[in-house]
Amino acid sequence: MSALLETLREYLAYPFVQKALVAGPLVALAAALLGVTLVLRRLSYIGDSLSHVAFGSMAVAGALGFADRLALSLPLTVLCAVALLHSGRGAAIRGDAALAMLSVGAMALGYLLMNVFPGSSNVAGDVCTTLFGSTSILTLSPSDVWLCGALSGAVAVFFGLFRHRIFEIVFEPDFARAAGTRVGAWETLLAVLSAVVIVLAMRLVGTLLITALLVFPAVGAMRAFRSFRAVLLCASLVGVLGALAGILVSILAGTPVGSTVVAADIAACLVLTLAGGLRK
Amino acid sequence: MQPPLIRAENLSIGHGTRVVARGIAFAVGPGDGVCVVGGNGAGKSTLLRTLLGLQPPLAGRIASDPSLRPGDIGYLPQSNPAHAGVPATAREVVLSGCQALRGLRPWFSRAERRLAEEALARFGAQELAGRPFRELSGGQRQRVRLARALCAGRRLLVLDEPVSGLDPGAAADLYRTLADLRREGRAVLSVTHDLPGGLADATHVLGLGPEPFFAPAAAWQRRARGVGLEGGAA
Amino acid sequence: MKHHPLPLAIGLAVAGGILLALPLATRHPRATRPSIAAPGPAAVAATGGAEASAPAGKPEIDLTHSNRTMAYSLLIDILLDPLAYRGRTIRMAGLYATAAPEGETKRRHACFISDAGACCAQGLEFAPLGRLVHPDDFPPPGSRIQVEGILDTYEEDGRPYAYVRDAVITHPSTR
Repeated sequence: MSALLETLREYLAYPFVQKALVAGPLVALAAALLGVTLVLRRLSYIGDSLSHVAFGSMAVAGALGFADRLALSLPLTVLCAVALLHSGRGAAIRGDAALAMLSVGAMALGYLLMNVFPGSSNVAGDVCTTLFGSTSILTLSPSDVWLCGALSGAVAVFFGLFRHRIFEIVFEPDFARAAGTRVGAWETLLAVLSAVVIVLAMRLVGTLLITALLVFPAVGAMRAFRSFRAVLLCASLVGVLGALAGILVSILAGTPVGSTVVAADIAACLVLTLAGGLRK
Repeated sequence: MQPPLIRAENLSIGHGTRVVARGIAFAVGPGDGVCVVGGNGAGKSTLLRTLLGLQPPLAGRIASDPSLRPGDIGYLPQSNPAHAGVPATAREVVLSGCQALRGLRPWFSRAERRLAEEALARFGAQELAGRPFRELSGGQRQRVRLARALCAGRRLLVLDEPVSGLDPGAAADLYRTLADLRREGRAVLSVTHDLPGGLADATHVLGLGPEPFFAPAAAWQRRARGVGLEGGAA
Repeated sequence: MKHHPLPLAIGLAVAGGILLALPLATRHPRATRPSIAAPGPAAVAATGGAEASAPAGKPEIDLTHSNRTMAYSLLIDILLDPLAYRGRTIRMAGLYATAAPEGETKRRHACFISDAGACCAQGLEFAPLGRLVHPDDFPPPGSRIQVEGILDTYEEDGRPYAYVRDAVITHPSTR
């Protein structure tokens, strides 16, 4: 045990480990909060589709020679999110088949582009990293950490200040509209934040596992708690602790980071489900 | 005679280009109790949504008292199955009725909290306040939602099927409460399938269908009896 | 209807702030030039070849004792920030790769390790100690080797790249 602690202390001395332990939980916090709004509006699958769009747009950016692929993939993903997440009448693109086509089309074209216009010598590796996020959280630059920190801080503050408004938008948008709330504007804002968090969360768990960061903390919290405020707090806690535990375990045990974080989230969700069941 | 809170002239309602009802004209003033009747598909819910600005009217005009702000209108939508999973206490649901009063402030004021408690008491639901909304029965949820509408409806209540889910005793209580609220100056516009109960306290009747009409309740009852709608001889 | 420009303003501020904060250039781990390909997925067991004596003393950075997640990430960090690791002794074990790119006089050598998911491999260049002649003094490409030496940097196209100087190559006979 003390050998383990000694190893841990040695690893914690490295800046890239410290950066991961700061940025990872912060991104997971933002994802958990936004995940609550997505799960409650039955939009969990849209989070998945958005991550596929993000993957595809990253590939396009690489093919076009962008030095920073985020400069293209962030705006593209945000645009798709706004189009998909509006509860308005023009929600044609949200049809089941249309969503499936968008999602898998982005993935396939992205992969095709990455192979035809390779941005690096190791296309298969890049794809794998982007899809599964095995170590990308441990290879962050300082600006990456600032970005994650700023974003997650903004999301946390936003939820802290406007949790009642967010509840009203999620619970019954029609009532909110009748009461004079600008539901469309708030929904657009939530869509933008969701898209940004999804693109950044790709660094932590990879494209294919982002839905886990969005869904597991929210579902676990909803099984164990019955007020909206408690659900938000619990989901945040699960997100942060799950990411912390996942990263620490993966650097000590040598497992891929993304899947380990998701495993931690699943464990937390199971515990909360049991606790909720016992409570009844 | 006070100016009407809402007045509609030659109103056509529907979805997209499909007209569901046309030629609707009526006016609702403070203290009025307007009962909207009509067969299935006549457009009753559509009318409420159009009046509240949730859908655009297809033709005609809706004029409202300029002093009537959205925060003065309380809406009771039809019961929503999507609420089955949302985690919220009954109190949180009722407090959401104060959203226009609260605005962008991150917290509810003491006055708003008091308003919510009083609204719950008004509909006999005060002991439900701390309970999770999704664990309540249909009738209990309906009362919580009525309380929410009351928080928002300082001058006008727009209710879609207010007695749905309520047993006859609770429905009678509701009609009494609505009559009290009207005496306090509010106007109530409700859609109902409960014809005898809903009409008993109404001041006006708005009928939708191929020949829409708007008349004081007494006149409508005479007419209805005349054509056998109230069970009288044809 | 009440107007709430605040949510839109917040949204625009967040989006704008993020776009402004985007770095204009991303660092790519390219300490090994694309002309050296990573060895194939099958790791070939070490067979014969030149043996060199192992250097004395414990290396400051020992990737052979770290798990794959940690070793891989540390290697990436070295490649991304070569100047910070300059002068430290390192030991690593991985697959050997070599290439003699066209238009260059020198042959390049690298040691590749892969991450926990075994989907990505990254290599660290090394310059052997002493006068070794290819191919006689070197193990077969794709074989498992251990490299020990001192981290240093060289400059190419105005950017620093990490490599291991005075590298001593050994074959672990087991594994």
